[in-house]
Amino acid sequence: MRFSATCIAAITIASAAHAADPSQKLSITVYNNNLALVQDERRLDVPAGRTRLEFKDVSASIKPETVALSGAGLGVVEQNFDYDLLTPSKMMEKAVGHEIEIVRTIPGTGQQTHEKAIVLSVNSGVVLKIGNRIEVLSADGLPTQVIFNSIPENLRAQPTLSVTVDAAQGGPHDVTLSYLTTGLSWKADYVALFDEKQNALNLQGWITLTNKSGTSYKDAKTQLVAGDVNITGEYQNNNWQPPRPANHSAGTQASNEASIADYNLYTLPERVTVAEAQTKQVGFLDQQGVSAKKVYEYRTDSFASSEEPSHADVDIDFSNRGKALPVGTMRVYIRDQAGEPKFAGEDNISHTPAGSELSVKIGEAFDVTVQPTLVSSEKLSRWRTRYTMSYLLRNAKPEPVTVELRQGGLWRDGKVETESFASRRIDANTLGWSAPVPANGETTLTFTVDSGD
Amino acid sequence: MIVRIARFSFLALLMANGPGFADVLSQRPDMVAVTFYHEGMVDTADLLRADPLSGIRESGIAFITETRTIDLPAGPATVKLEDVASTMVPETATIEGLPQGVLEQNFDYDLLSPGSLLANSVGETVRLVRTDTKTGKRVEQTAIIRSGPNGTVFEVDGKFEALHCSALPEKLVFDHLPGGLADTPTLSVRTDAPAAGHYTIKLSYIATGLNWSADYVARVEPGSNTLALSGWLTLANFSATSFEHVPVDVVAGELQTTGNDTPQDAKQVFLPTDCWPTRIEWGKFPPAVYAPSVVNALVPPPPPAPGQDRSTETVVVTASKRIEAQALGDYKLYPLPEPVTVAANQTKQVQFLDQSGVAFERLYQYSVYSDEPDSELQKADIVLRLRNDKDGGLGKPLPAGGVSVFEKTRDGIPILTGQDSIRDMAVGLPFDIKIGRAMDIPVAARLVNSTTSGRGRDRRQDNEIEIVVQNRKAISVAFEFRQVMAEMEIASESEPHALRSGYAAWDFRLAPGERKILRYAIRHPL
Repeated sequence: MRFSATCIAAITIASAAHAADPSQKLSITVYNNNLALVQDERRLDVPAGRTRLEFKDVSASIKPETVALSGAGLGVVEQNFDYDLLTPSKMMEKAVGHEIEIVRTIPGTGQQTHEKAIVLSVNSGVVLKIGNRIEVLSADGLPTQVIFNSIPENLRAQPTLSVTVDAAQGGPHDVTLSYLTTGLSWKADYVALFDEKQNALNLQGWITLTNKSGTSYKDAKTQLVAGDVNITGEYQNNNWQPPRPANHSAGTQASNEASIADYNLYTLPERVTVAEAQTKQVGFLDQQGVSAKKVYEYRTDSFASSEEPSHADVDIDFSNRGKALPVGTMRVYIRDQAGEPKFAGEDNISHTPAGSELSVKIGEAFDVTVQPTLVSSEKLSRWRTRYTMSYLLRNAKPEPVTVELRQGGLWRDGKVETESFASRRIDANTLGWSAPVPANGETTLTFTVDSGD
Repeated sequence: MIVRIARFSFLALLMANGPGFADVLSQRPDMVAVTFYHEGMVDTADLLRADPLSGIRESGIAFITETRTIDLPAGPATVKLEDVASTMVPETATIEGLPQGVLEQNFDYDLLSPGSLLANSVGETVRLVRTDTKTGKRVEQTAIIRSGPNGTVFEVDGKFEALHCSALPEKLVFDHLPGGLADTPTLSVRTDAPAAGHYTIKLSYIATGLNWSADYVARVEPGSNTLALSGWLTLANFSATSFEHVPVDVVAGELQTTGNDTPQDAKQVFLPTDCWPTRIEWGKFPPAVYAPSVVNALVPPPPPAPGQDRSTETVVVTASKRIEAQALGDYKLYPLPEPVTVAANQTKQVQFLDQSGVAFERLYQYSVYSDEPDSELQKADIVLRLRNDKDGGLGKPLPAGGVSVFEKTRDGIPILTGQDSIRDMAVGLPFDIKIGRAMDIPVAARLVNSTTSGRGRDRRQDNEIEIVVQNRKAISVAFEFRQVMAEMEIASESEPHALRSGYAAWDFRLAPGERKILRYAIRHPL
């Protein structure tokens, strides 16, 4: 470096307005949990010495503590984020001690009087000094215009980031501004058209990007990070629900997406404009004929009677081959008798590696019901009980169905003593039966278990 | 008026979109079809009351399918689909029929309002018009807006003033709409057609604020053990969009929903209140319009009295236009036989079931839910027991809903004898309608004795219970007594019980004036 840093020069202000800058290159990296990294590259003409750069179009939801400005030959002296917005009351507060002009209109005649006044105080009312008189503004309720000579320098129409830099050399500099902002978020939305006869699913995936950050991002290179990124001190999701384990077995296939650290990264194919108050969707997945099947399931963890029958759950089971599925909502559609697709229910899915077995619950079967009856219970020891259960499975559909019944609530050494047809052990605490129910008919499953302790 | 504003936004769009993308505007759909769903059973009284604080106005979902025709130029184009439902859930939108599919779709909901107009006009030159109240003389000046809706500051001739702080009659006049504001919720889609042409596209999406409920009216046919059952669907539209003369389907059954399907809220831009002395209430949102109808929940909503509420309309379907349930996967789909109009903030009722000769059994029931009943004199429940099958004169899927039972007095005047609700009822299921309590079937259940016996692991408690029931009616009645408990053993009983869907039941026939005593003991391990 040929020049020594002799830069205690006067501070000049270079305004770096966004929109009209052709050298500007924006890129945004959006996370699932209401967070995005904005990188703003542009070429700025910076004189040698200290210069204050103003960035007006930064996100209104910027996290100022994460701002970083870098550029070859530039050193950052200080950075400020001014929230002081220009409003009439702020204007009046800043005018204390300064001269303003007041214009009164006499109601009877419409005649106007102009007077100069000094603002003495703004405390639940404005006290003015006009000549040698002291008055309260608009105390008489008559129309009174207030005219200010200027806008105070640090009041702005929008939040503004200003960075004071120290340039070794005058001239154009490539500057990169980066910061984190809230208000941008993304998730996946899946459209799954299920064909029951073919046991097939047509699966389309959309990336849904929402911008409530208060600012538009023009022609931004957009990347999306899929994965559970830990963010400290943030209430991460307003709609948090206990996740239902849609994912039966996690896959082991490598997905085609690029990955960064332990997260998958999706890059939109071209630069996009993400406007304020916009929901933007871009397709990322289109798989035809994914093999899938419908399963009726009834789960319980207790040995108890029910006065009324319950409807069996309807699940769609399938495997996502080849593609990882980012967190989102899967909406399942089926065709009605006229062949038109109709909405048939939705479920949340979590980040799912490629090759996983998924089970998506879409709703409850109107015509397939399960009614449990506790026939008898007998205490075997302090903690063990022998339960005899009877499950009445009814099917009002014109075709036979199989109900997957899951009886939880077994403990150590729990076992089946008798059963009307064979069970299998799902896990240590759960027994499973695949119970066939004839068309327009019913099946009764009875069993006796020792609950174990 | 809509057309005029649409033209403005069209121009603004051209500017906003830049070169390379042609704009294609579809102002309204040619055809709309609406399928109503609901999440769980909905009480019709809630739909009619439409209390804005209850959340009912945001509940319920509909699947909307729109057919639109557009003229696409060759090459990249942005198709603006206007006049979609105001409560559209944008991420659920799918479009079929575009030659090259969808590159990208956007939903903009920066809706035009006084606040958003100001927010999007910072830095713009506008006209400031002041009117002299005495003379009516208008003074017009050129002003530049310096700050937005949180308190507007404008510049006139290099000096600065605040809007609506001077108590002068003053207004801002805009020569054009700022870009990016839509007067109607608009979905825009980028596509790239290989050749220009006339295309028919199908847009489908989920919208909220559309809901439905089912209600039944059971009229007991005098002198027989049958009733006439009619079923009504109530459709409610709490969105700001009217659906006129559209085909409507209703889907019954429990769909799984995630709770994530919410319409995008318009960006909230409020106008200032902290000016120096002024009183300006220039809110952004129109006041919520809802029917102020007060519906007594005890009065059965359907069929409504004619002229009861302007926003409620009843469509009676004649026998020739019977609605038959179709299967939609594992749900039931009810296609309405002809197109209907469901206007914004309207409730509409359609009959879907009209079945006479439905067999029922009238019985009196009393249930004890503990092993220590409290000896008080109670009244037996009146129960109508039905079975949803062909033999019983029914055999149709019945969506969950409220049931109102009417019986005729000796003079032939129908009176309401009670209300209950039923759950989704598949064909073949038995069900009970509990309509009230019988004045003249008193029942008392008391704990007679409680003893323990055995030692250690075999230690147990026996509770002896006595039930006394009397028929003070002039006719003989069927009586069912139920002991409902999670885990129990009947150690002894004066008459044998039956195990019936989860409870122990004793059935008696009681002659007029007959008094019956039942004794049994419940055994618990200790």
